[in-house]
Amino acid sequence: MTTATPNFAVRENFSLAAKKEKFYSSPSPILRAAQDVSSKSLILRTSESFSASLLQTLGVILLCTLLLQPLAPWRSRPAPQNHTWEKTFPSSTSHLEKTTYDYDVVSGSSLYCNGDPVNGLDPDGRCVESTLNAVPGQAAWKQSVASFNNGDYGQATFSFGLMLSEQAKTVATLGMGSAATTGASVTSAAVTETAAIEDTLFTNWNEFQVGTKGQFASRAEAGVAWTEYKTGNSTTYGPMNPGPLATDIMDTFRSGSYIARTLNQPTTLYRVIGENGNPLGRYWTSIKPQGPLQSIIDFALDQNWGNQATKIITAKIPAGVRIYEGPAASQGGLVGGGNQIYLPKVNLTWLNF
Amino acid sequence: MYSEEIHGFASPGEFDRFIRYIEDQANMGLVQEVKPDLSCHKGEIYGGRWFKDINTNETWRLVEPDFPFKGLWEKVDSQKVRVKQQFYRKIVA
Repeated sequence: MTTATPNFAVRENFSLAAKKEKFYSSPSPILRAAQDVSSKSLILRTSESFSASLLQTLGVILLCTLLLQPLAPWRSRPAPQNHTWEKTFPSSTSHLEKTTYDYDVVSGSSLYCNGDPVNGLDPDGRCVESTLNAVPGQAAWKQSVASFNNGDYGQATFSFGLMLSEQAKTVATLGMGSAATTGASVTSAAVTETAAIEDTLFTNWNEFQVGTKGQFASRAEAGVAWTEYKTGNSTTYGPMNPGPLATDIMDTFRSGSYIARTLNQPTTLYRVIGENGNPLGRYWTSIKPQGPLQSIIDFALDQNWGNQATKIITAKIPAGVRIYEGPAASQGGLVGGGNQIYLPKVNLTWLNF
Repeated sequence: MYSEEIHGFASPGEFDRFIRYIEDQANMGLVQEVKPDLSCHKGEIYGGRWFKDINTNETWRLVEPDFPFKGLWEKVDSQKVRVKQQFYRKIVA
């Protein structure tokens, strides 16, 4: 293969030091990595073989990048940097050219992706998934690139092979694990105190009925709750399957989608209110609020309704209570998306003062 | 009495005005405030103040806002709910 040779690599009158200086001044990490490779054997190599290997390396990396592009849709999302979300609009929208949301100024980072939206995915505001887990082989690929950059070519080759095997396995088993994946993502929702079934309070159906007396309108509802309690599963509802919540409540969740589940162990929930707010209200969260600004943004607390989120109420909700959970809907220009739990009835004895 | 359901008040001020309106209606004898059925949780919403329309004999409830829930004024079929509850309690017992 005959190709045009880069000028900096073949000029015969270049000294080795001059070549190194030229290589290290290159802004591209790929060229730098290629330089690492070449510098170790540069003395023995001719400029022609070096340029050939460089082009081969670039070709492999380019091919892998192109193959992975369709599997990595998050790359097109605007990426926040160090908890500062910055979005630049086209110059035609003069008054909105640059909008910065700095969540760290007053109250700490946003709840979205646990404040790390660069490395996390949060498709519905309830759980954080690592981008490394989102695409098969992505972790191995990153390891491979890191090893290559560090000069560990053996590890890089091994990781690259691992990436290929993971992707081949994914293609071979495509569709076989979707149900399990969905169930896992739902049950790994935001309440951090996930329960072990062995620690449940009620051991049989009769105990459950007695313990939750008056909570359910029908035996069928109680049966569903008992199943959720026993298995730790949850039921997902949305606009096509509205579930038990009234539309007025359903609309407070993003896209009208929420899950219903029955707590199978006592769980601590939090609620933010203003100075004269109602501590026994219906809306709670499982993630401890970090401050007023964060709460107002994440729970989309429209300030026309007066909740300045200056006080945090903590409650320990007993096992057997059915909760409705989902991401908060946007309100009044506030994005929402924080973990939101609707409790139809709150008992005063649950509150921790 | 205002006989159209309200699903979400526009502001706390609007809700306050509606309360004053209903209380005025009660003072004039057009509606009567009744004891709410605490077991009623239509749409998983408990409570509220219940009012009975003297002319139509219908019962309505006014649930105060708890943002992001923006309040509610709706007709309740308490009899149906009560029968359902009694049936369930009988089965549990």
